[in-house]
Amino acid sequence: MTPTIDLLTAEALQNPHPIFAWLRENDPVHWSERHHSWIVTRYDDVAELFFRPEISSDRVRPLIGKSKSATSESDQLLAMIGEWMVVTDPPSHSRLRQLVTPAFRPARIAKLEAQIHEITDRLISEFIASGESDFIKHIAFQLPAAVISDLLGAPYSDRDLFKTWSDDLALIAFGAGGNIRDDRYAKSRVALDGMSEYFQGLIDLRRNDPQEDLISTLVHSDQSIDKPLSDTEIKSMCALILFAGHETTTNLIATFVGTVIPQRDQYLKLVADPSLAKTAIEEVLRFDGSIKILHRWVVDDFVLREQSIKKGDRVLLCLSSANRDPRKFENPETLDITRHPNPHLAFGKGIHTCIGAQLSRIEARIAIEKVVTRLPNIQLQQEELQWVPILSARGLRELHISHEARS
Amino acid sequence: MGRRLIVSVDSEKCMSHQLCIAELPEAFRLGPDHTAVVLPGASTLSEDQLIDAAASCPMAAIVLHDEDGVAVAIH
Repeated sequence: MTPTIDLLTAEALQNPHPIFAWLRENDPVHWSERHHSWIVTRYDDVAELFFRPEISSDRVRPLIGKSKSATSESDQLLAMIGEWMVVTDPPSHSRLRQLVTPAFRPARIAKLEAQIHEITDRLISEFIASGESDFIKHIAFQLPAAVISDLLGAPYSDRDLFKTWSDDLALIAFGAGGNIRDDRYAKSRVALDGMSEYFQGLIDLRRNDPQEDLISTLVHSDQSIDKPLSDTEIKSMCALILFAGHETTTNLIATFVGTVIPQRDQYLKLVADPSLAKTAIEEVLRFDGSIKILHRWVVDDFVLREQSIKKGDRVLLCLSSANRDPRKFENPETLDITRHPNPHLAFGKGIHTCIGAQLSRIEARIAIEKVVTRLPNIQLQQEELQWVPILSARGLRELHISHEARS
Repeated sequence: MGRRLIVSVDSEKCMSHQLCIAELPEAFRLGPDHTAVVLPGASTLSEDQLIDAAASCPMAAIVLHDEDGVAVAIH
């Protein structure tokens, strides 16, 4: 008998992997009343659905006015984030992507590397000097905040604003559970309004005085492209990049430390050879990547594993499950920092593949190389890891460590 | 007229962003396994066009060689 599948219980949020394993073996294309969605858990199915024409990423706009609890506030918010590149299909998607991707070319990203080294060294020195234990607050949060501020062209001193906005937006974009669901639209709306006003200020500055940053690139975007971006679109793009580039990278770095350090044999291998950071990061992305589930909308009927999936249905692509599918990965439940090749789907696949994936990888690699070389005998100071109570995302709530570095 | 370049795609690196196809549809298309494949006429395109298309790949999966087999720098 099929057990009731609920990915939002405290137990499932803490560890969704047993549910995913059951679904992969017993009901790989599962209709869930609880989630009003199809839950797809096998690697091949998830990978294939990224390319099915029946599957749409335009998943926010159809919600406008539909929810039983819809208010003008929730609808206005949905209308704004409905224009984000991640939730649009071609041709809107193609145009937005064409305008923003020059900033993410490998040659541009590589130029940020020296800065990332410098920022990471400074953060680790400050962390050591502080005598504190909170790794997320002092390092995993700070590094992506600094890099994304640099990339956008926003002063790093405004990072606390970004943190508040990013956290409040996550409530709606990632689907929070529990009591915080109630006022999430109002909170997200305040966050978006705050961001909008803030970025308008920067746009006005850069219009007359362009710098080497993303806002300048967007303001002075290639006039030959279909239609240059409006200020509203630039603000929306900045909000998306701030949001998408921040929390996910924080989670990757923190999950790495929280997951690899307790596995002593793996950790010692890394200390002996810090160049393993590269494959180790891919393995952490596979093992517990920052995005657990992606939502997609069905725009035309199709059949998958004998299940009739109908237009208007919602599909949950379980990346965390695909990445532990034994049909694709040998010993998938074992963390092996030398695993190669590692064709995980942590950043997605197809036209919506994370555009910041390489930047995120560079940040994580530099952070990890420096943590293992500069924080000798690093240990976790907590018995058990606590994971965020969010359906779509995977990340640690907190991470306390000790080490023996002298300040 | 620049050099004639040989184009290839590292299918292990390709994540199917399809930016190369948007940039230069004369040189690339999506293959049956959803990774980019090089079209037969690609080598007849100009060096500048090919370098631009290769530089657009976020995964740096497009590799260019000259006729002596020397890798071409992509910037």
